[in-house]
Amino acid sequence: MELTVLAMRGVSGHGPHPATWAAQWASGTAPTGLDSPKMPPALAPHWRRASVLARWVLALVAPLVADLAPGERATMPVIWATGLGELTTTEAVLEAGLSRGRVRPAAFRGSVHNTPASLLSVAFGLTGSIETLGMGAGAATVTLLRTGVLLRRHPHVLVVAGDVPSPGARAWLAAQGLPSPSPQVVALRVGRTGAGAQLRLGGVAGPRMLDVPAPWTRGGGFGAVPPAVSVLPTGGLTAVAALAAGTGGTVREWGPAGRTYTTAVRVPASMSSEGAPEPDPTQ
Amino acid sequence: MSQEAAEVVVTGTALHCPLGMTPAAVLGALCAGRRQVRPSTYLPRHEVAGWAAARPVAEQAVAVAHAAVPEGLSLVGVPVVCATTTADLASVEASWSAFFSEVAAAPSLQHQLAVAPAEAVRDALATGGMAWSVSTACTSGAVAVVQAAELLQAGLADAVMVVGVDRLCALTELGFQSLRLRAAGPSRPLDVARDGLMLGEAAAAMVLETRGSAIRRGARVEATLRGWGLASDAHNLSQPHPAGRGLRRAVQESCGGRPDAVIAHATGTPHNDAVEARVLADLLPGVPVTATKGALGHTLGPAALVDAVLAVACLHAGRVPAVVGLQQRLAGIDAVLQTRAAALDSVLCTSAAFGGSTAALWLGREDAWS
Repeated sequence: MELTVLAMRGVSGHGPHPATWAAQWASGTAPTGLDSPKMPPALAPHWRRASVLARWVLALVAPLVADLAPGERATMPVIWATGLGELTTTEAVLEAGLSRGRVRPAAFRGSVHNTPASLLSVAFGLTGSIETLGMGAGAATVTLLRTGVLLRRHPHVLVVAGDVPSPGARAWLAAQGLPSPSPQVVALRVGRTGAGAQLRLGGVAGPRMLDVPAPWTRGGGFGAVPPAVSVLPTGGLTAVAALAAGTGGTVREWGPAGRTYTTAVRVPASMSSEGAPEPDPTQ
Repeated sequence: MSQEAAEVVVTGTALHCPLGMTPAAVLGALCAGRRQVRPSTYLPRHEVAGWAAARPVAEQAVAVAHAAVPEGLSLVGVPVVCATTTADLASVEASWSAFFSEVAAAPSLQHQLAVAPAEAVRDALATGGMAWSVSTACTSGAVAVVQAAELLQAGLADAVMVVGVDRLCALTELGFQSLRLRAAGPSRPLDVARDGLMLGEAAAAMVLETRGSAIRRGARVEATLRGWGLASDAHNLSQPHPAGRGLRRAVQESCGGRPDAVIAHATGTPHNDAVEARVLADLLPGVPVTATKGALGHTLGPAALVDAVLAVACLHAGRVPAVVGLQQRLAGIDAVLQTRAAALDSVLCTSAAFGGSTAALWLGREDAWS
């Protein structure tokens, strides 16, 4: 199954330029937290009550859908893939709600897993399907697999993946001796064809699942899927975005029973990656 | 989208809830007008042996998945798709208080990940395949079925296990309270005097296969999935589009003919039911409309899958259950006041969700059952 990344944006605890992430991972640079992005004026109605995660989703997607014709906005499916979802908001709601016996309506709305995808739909008038995936092992492969299935009927699919670790998640991971993961949000507009990076799903996941060989793998592959990223289910997709901005290679993810999923990436020399908006600590 | 080429069939169903531990038993309870919700608390009661509301979500998911596995199906490599909203948050909510008070460690993250019940089913059934969850709030069950069907049509699997499960937790209870969407008494879907929803609990499962796979292994086909539609309102996070933009499109995409009955989402809230009735009155005038949430409550993540499983049961039984709690019908639709016996060829299930996601599944009778 082959997919073409037509446009992408990403941000992480290693900065707003995906092309630089791999080098930082390799050098062991610790990720930072993620401040809210600057608010694009057109998104003001959706901004105030949105979480940092949802704001980044909105900010990264805005340029990817800016040139869509009305017909495309009416049909393009949206996939929102996340492991933790709005767990940060959920924890805040629980902290206040469990002691007081009530929660604020806006806070509850913000705690729902598919809130970022819903905000995308409302903010940009996307009336096609919304699919919020709760991801675990093999997150990138599953997400791209679903993308490929949707591309059988649609010319483009908007794929957004991200996680911002909540305080509780960080505390639990630390208690298990696991590294503090990087916050990360990536947005891809994916098509069947066109100028862009090619992704080919490969790997092993069962008798008829994804048994396509990945011939584009370069020598050495991509050995830098960093532990701090891969703790989170969406780490693989972030790695795909980073690869698509870089040199190509193979992304490997862990699957069940010790299996490994791979995605081969081929990047044309003409493709470049634009950075995300700069974070704004004041927001 | 109506499916002409690669047929998707249902070869296994299961439903566990306080009203019964099989789809037929639950349908029988619905037809008898029973509720599974205790009016004094609006929480599920333990009405039948086998149902345990306090059971962790992963255990409920595994139990219902086991019950749905059709005879002779090899589960090796079968993908698992789970519909859920809060996963097993209920299991760790009490721990959060201690964590916030800095007297205990953070609760297990693994219980809170939406993917947890899907991975539990994968491990328990030893499929070794992929597992993920769908969490589009109240349409999750329908979206999971659509993903499974399209995976089959793409030739990427021969069978898919779809599971839906949620357990009521304080977040859900307080959240719906804050939105003032809960009924003061038992809910009355599709009634002119409806005033809100009741929350409920259930676990459901459905095994989907290509017809080719079912034929090869001589499987008993329970129903066909004739079509489906997904769309979004793009209007408001917690209110439907006034004209039902998304639901209208989902129904139009799903249904290439005229179903014999509709199992409507029908939460019992003023806004949802008014919009849904308008859409159904426009697109499917005169078609009997029933709903399950007056009896089962709103089971959230699995709700649409629960309805799809019950649609299969309706096709087998030739019965359209009355809407429990309905007294005076909304204008424009034929909401079912008394359980009806009818030869059913197909049933349409509709669902709508927080955030504007809408879905429709069109299930058809399998001739072999006639």
